[in-house]
Amino acid sequence: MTSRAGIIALTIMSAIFLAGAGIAWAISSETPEGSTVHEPGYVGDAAASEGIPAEIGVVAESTDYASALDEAAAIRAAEGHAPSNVIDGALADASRVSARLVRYTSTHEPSGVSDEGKPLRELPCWMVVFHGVMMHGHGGGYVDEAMRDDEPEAYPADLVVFLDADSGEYVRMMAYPSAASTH
Amino acid sequence: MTPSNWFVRLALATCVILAQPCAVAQAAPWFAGGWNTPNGTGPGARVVGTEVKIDSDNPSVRDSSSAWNMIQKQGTGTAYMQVGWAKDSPSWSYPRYFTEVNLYDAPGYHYTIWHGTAGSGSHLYKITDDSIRYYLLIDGVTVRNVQKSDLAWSPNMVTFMGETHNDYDQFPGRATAKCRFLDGAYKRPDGTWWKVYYYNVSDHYGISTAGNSSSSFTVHDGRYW
Repeated sequence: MTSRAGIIALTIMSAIFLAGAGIAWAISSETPEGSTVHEPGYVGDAAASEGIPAEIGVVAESTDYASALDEAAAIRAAEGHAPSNVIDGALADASRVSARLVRYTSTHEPSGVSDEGKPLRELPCWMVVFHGVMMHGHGGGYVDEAMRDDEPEAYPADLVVFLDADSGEYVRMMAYPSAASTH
Repeated sequence: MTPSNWFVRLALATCVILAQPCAVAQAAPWFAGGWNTPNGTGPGARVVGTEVKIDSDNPSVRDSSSAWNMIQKQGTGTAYMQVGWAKDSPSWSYPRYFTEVNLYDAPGYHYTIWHGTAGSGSHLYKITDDSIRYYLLIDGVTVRNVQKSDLAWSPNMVTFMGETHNDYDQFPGRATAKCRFLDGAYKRPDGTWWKVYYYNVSDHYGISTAGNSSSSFTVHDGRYW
């Protein structure tokens, strides 16, 4: 009798343990491959502090990774990647420029790699953000010439450049309207 | 007239002459390529995807130009979704793949991502969908997804274009090395894919050979051999 009660108790405890472990696994959200799964809209502490919207597909989390570049060098390098649709001189007029070391994950390119072949998953990077930069849309929707404005309307945007923390090489770049972070 | 007056007049004349191309350069962007709407599919016709192969054509790309595949809302220059390649800066050694999507149907709400360096040769740029999202793919690999609920506009036009922003830029391709668009198709909401028959767009210095109902066409910059 005692042993039967013990078995029942052990079975219940095992069931509780297994259920708990399952719930814990689901919450900790480690996939079998070891990558982390986040709630929709999660962008990481570093991206959140810069107001980067989830739609642009960035997860950036702060790190104390030892980079081969210092902050000033990272900003200079990022400036060299600025696209031509940034109005001339607008980078210098940015309302704020920040550079911080992050672990960068692309949620849009889960299987993506940098030009150097490094997976875009928790990749140590410099994240340089130029806030409030006047730029045009990169492209445009086609409309007949008669319906076209002579000059595309410029708008304030945030330009984000990710550079490999080891090599300083370009990884990815994105831009979105400055107002997007409050959309 | 004293030499100093001559100098002033010459300087003013030089400024006026130099100002002309600058004024012209403001009339941008320009396009060359082909477009199509799903005519014959009835009122409210929509497209939900498209694909086309495009040459990267790096040797002919100078300061700033791009070539892309797009679905858009006809008649508006702001509601669109693009996937293609762009060389957006003279400091870039090679073009980069890019995607740009207008969200919330708000002018200026462009969300642009410059992806990795574009490889030489021809690449397949594709947009497709499921019930919840659009997917943008390059050579079969998804590089971006967009929630349909974030889009707030409905595409009804397919556009394959090269683009440049001003006289100092260059359309993709040159007369002796044209940029080719091949095997264009669009996707209807029922999931079927249809071959695209193009309407031609040749704009400014950009020359297109679209409009011949063939399976390919080219674009190039008429200023360069």
